[in-house]
Amino acid sequence: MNPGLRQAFAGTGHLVRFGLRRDRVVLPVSVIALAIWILLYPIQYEIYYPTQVQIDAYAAATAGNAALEAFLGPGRAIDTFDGLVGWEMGPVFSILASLFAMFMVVRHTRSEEEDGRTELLLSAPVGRLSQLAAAFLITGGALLVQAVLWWTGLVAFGLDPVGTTAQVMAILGCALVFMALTGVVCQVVSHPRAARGVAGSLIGAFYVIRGVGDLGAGYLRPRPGPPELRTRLPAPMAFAWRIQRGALRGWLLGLGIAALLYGSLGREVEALLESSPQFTEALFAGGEITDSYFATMLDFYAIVASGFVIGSALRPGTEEKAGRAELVLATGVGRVRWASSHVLLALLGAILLMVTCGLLSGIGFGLVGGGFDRLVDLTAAGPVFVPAALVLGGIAVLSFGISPRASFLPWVALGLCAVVLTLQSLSAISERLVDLSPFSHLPLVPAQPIEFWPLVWLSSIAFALSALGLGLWQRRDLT
Amino acid sequence: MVPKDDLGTEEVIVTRALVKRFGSTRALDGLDLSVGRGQVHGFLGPNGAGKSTAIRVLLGMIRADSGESRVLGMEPWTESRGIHQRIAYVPGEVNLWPNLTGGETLDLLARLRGGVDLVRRAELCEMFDLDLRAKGGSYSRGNRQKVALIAALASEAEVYFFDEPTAGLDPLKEVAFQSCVREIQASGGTVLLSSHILAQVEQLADTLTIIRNGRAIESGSLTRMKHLARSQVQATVVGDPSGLDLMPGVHDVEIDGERIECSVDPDELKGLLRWLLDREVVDLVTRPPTLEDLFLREYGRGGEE
Repeated sequence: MNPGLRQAFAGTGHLVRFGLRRDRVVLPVSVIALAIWILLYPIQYEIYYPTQVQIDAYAAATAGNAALEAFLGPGRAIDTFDGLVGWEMGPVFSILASLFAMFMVVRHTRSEEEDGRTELLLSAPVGRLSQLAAAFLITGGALLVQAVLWWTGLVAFGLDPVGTTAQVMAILGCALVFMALTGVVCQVVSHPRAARGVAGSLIGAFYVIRGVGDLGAGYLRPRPGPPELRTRLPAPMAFAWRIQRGALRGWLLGLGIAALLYGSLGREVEALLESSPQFTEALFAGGEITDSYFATMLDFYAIVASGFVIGSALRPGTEEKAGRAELVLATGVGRVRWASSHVLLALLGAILLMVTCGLLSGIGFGLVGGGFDRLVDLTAAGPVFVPAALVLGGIAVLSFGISPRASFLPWVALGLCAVVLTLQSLSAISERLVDLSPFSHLPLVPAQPIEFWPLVWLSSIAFALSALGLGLWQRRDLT
Repeated sequence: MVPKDDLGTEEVIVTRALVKRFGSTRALDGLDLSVGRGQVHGFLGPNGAGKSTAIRVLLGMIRADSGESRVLGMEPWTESRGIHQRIAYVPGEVNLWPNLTGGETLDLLARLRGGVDLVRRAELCEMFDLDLRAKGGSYSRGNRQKVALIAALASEAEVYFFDEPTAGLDPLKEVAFQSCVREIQASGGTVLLSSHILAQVEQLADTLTIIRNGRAIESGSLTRMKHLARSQVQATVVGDPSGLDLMPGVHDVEIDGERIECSVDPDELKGLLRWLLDREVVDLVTRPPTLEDLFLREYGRGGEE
């Protein structure tokens, strides 16, 4: 290696060790979580489709379905168990692994720079390319370890070793491409949030290109913005709205598109379900099977929308962590009033998100010929799921009331709720654990009649948690 | 009841034996501080001396473990909102929202406050040369500081808390900041100006508190404080200058032929001048004490840092 190059990469080894040390908790946890997640696919499908007859029925029901192919790609060998698992798992894991690669690269380059650690490091004998190289080495290494874990797990489960190798390599290759792409994005845009946004959009865009086949690409660069505030909302609501509206738009767009697309699948569900009585049983909540499908989907959207609710309710703690809270509080807005505006936005946002999900589910279903007579019921059903999301929001308020360092708590709770939702249909976990999730207590409208009592007590819990959190927040030192 | 100091001026900021612990460290260890209405009060000390902690206690961001404090006669922890409505604050480390423009940030802060002087703010933006269209994420440290400064200076407050306000500013903007502080002073406002830059405080402050390890080690008017520090004297005399080092209150004597150089305690300056008059003085230069000298003296004392 010529001396110039050697200088550019100087200290890479140190940076890798330093990075690994910093990620000694995050990295193993995410690698193991993904390994467990991938194994859920064959486990789940073995329960749903235990015999070849059922697999054949599944293949017949899905063959040539344009909507499903848009999601999962053309189905190949889906009349075999391995093929079926691979079809369902491949795209999801290509995206997950790509997101993982993206977050890792941003974490080890742009975030470091914004925190000012880069300059600290670059002033030490470290080459200019070392940081990016170290980020690639750590991310690539973690992906390789993951691929090995996945392969071992899937083959141990009984999937074909050769096919599994191809599948895992495909996912790994996809993730490595996005790792490199994120590396480029990080040099072009200047902030971790923007870097994640651009790289995330690229992953989304490529996913859509793969499904649709064509898309005009735009080029994003940081632009100057308006020199004054353009909202007439009173303070502090104007403030909460301005700093969170981007997030709310993103969630609306994502959930809206999902609801529309999955709504348009409503008519295929019946055929699909006929292929697996076990699947039907897991999904069935009462009434017509289409209603069960929509109720389950709304439950799922509510879990996803909880991500927004948590992020929004956590905002005062996030601001505190970012060192911006004092600037705001010194204006005389009042701690509780300021925090409450974010909590209120979380509530309104949750309602808006769920109404949108219900409405677009109904529209999607109507557009493919399912008729629009469900539209009103579905739109009204959406907000019924909000109280469970609010409980998670309440945990978020409580967490920053205790300390901004406790902000992982609501996310852990959300993770548990997602796990419960996935596993309860398999009857794989105990009733008690299922009861812990607020989502288990919701009436599954429109399949079940609406019950107000659970909505009242779930909302009361959310309110009590928030009140307790705000009380603690009022009484503790800012950090 | 608004407390008064010995001279009968209203005490706008006052602390008595203030203690704040973080774990086992005592960030504030019995701090006494007093700022009268209309004063520009310098709050001097090195990094980690407890300046920011004291300001955060005074603004009710954190709660003192013991001791008393009042801002405008109000108790910071229980009446923080009342205080906030009458003060303006520029934190030491200004962080902004990366996707909000400077203009949006200023508008939001103004709206939270319940209105500011928009004409004044436009003037300030011009004066500090701030691009209102740029996003918070693209601002340098100095530009972030400008946003917080403009928000504070446009707010028509009674008391201004500036925590290391010019740490990221270029010299021209620092001059602009100094003229703003003089304007505040002229209109009767009160300023607490924390800094570790002596020259800055020296140019602006009427009174001064030096803080070290969470405790005020010196406090008073700038003039009085300067009396505590030694003047530097350089002279050329005809004849034998020996014996100078035996004079009371004369230190750091250096003799090079007929040239002498020394420092002298304020009380003993007279004696040194008499000694010089007894000889033939060819030239004489005296340099008044700077805060730097005072500061070094205070910090030299006691040894521990």
